[in-house]
Amino acid sequence: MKRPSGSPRARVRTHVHSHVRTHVRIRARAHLRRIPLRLRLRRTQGRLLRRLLLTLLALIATLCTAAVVAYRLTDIPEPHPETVTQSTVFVDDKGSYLGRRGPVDRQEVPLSQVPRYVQDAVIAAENRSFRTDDGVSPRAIARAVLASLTGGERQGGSTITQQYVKNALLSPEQSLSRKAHEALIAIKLDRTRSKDDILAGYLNTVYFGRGSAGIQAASRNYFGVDTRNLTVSQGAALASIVNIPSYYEKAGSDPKVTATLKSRWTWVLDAMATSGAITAKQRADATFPAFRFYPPGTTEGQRQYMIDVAAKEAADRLGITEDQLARGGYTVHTTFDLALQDATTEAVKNSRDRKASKSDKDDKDDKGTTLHTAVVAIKPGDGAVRLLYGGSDYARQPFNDAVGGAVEAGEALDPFDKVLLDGPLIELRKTAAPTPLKLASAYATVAANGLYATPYTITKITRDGRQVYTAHPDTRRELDEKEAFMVDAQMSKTGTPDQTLDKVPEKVTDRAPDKEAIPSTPTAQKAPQTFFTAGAGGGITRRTLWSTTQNPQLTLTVALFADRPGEKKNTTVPAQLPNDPAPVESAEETAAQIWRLATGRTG
Amino acid sequence: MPHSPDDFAAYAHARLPELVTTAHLLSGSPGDPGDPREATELVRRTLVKVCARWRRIPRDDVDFYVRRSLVKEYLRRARRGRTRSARQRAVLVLLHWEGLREAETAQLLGCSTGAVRSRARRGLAVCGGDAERLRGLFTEAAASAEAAASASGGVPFDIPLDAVEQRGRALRRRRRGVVVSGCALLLVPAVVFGAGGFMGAGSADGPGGGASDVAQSPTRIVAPGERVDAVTGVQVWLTTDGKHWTTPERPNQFRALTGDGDSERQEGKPGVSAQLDPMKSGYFLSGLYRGLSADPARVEVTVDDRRITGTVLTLAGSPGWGVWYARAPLTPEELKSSSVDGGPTVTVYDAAGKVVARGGADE
Repeated sequence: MKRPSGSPRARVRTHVHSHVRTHVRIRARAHLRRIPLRLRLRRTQGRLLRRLLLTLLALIATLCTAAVVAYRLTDIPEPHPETVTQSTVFVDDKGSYLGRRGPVDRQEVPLSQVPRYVQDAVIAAENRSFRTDDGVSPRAIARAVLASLTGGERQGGSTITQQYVKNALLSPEQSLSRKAHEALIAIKLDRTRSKDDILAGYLNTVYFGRGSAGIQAASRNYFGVDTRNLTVSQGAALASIVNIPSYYEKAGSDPKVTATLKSRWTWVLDAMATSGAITAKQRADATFPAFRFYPPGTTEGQRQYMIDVAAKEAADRLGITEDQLARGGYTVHTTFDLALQDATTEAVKNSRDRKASKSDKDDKDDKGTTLHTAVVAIKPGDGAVRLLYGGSDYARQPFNDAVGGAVEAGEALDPFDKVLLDGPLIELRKTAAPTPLKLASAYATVAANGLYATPYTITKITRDGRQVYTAHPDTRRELDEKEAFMVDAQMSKTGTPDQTLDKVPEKVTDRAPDKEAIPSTPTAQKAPQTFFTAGAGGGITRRTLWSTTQNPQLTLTVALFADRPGEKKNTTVPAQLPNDPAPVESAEETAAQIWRLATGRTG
Repeated sequence: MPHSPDDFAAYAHARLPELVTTAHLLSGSPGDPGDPREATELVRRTLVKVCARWRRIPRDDVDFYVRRSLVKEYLRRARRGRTRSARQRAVLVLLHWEGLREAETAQLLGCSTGAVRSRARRGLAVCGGDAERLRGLFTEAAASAEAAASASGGVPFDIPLDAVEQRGRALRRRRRGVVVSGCALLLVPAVVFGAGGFMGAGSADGPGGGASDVAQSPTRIVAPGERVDAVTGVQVWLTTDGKHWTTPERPNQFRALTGDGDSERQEGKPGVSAQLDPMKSGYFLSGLYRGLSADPARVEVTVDDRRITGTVLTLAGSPGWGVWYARAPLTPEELKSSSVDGGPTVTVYDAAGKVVARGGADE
């Protein structure tokens, strides 16, 4: 023991333990020196450690408090504008996609319309603990780090909630503080909203590639179906795409991308089968789905004409502007028959081609005359416009002849001469050149025994699965039955002869299909249809030509007219119809062709 | 000092009297020598603890650690009620009896030098403010204690060192047990979590599907009216009622889905057709299949002995019908030689590799 010689204890000890005295003196001198640092540190290490621990605890406590305070102060931001705007989609009478209007390709669907296996596929691909975690998942972050280190399958460390916060609520800037902010919002969101709400928000905003934000646009752009019709394998493919959409969007066309996607698709499906989201049979039956072309193939420039007309009407019906409509996320169900429209385009093109080839042979100079064709098909007594052909290509001629073109009626109005017109039909008297749609609706009035129906192109408008507008045919009696009969007789008389039998005698006020269908359908199939063809100008100086054929189910009007560049720039003046081939035959042939397609389809 | 477990006994034996004296001074109060049994008990407990961690005590600083153990044990026992005076007393004994410097005392007590100094000052003030007198008192008390000890025979302290060592070893074992089980408790969740993490990551690399996909037909979904450039100059598109195609030689052809002719109007029965279109470079080969329950996995054209895998186009939603076409035109020679066997034949296979439809070129 060290002890200074001056201590009282040493004095006691000196006589008790005299043999240690020398030792004591040596040690005493050593003691007077400063205690070496190593020794000092060792002696105080317990204290130092204790202090360190306390400091650490204090730090942790401070951090926790700070986190709690930050959490309390965090507000869930409003979704930013791009993720609120939706495009408006137009579909034809059978639900086939016509096109869309709007700045982003996005349409919201309620979660109830997303099949459960599609939800499970997204959860399996992006965040397997989604249904149980608290908005952030330390395990997922650890696994993502581990996977990126070991080179396993790429799986992000962000939960679906975090991704939703990042995509929909925050601006796309990347920094650590933003990550923390994002995590805080994710936790708060998770505590304040249901998992289903978050999943719905996520599925409706996440980017799937091919320009599509949200699952509805993605289903359409990848598979051409609505979300509710996705199959298990299609759902798994979409869920696989979310990871790197800009890469996987080439799926189907690039073999390498397709192979990569397929292995990820397999991984997602296997995970779904393991977790019980799909049955073993569903897993075994799943085959890698077929994709649409990307970029999609061209279509005839017809859809835009239909969309133009429908958008204008939809905006009118809803009392909003077309811009509001484009951003509103509506689904506009139109009355158009897309297949018939396409068939019409081809029929018109064919007859045009025949003309072109003939005029080539004749080497005739047309002086720049352009031949226009407008075709309108209306359901009599109802007003639904089934077909509205007003130009061959929207890119070259955005003006729709069928709706906006003024075509001189000439003799085409003659059947109405002897009857008194009022209401909407009175306009026919006032103008010498009605639009094809107007005149067609007048003919349809005759076909419906004098019942005028305002033409309409929209059957219903839905939004978020709710119906916001439903069309009701707007009809009024314009001609009494006698007058209608007279006009009809007039049309039949001037019409192409020898097919009058199937039209006139069957005219009754009641247009019940069961009464009509039995006698008229077989005759309509066998006997050729009557054509009422008339127009302005005669002989070889025809300016316009109208050819109409109808039965109580459909009124079809084909209008032919021509124009050529006018004196002033960007103006046109009416021109004479080319005489080769004979315009009457040409118009009637086109009408007959469309009529066959239309009635073969509907009846 | 030799590093053997036995040197504890030697050390304890050598230092026992001094330890008892110090304990005696600690447990008493100035002027009042405390209960000798209390001092003995204090030393015994201290020695048990020292024995328990004897191996980990640095050999060049044993005294410091033993002294610290003693003071701590004393403070622990004195905790009930009179901590402040006990601390003051410990400081006084260490400074004025053991002769430690303030810095060392501070290290021993785990406080700052300033705290030692102030405690010493206050302690001295309690005892009358005279350090020399205090030392005298200490010497007296120690001497009386030693005298009492020597009076009661050679081994004055009833501290059986064997028992102390035994208890020390038991204490060490118990402590080790606690540490081991604590570590185990900490480790178990870590292991479970780690394994779970590995399982999650481990299942990431699934096999890339079966190896059975030999030359599947590329199948694409098209929208009605969407033009597909099949071969240069040839466009194919589908509408809901059939197949349309345009070749440079024959524009705007159509083949209806249902109206193939009266003889073929068996709805729902699987069938496939093939159409040959003469072109400058050869023949464009395409056709229509229908009546299938799912998309075909493979459409194969057999011309002579050559097998060509066709590309399939279908509308959305697996309607069970669609269009196939060969991406390479057929040369007239191939066609001629195949016409001996009745022209090219088309076979449609499903995903399981079964033939679902077979057909030939129509005239």
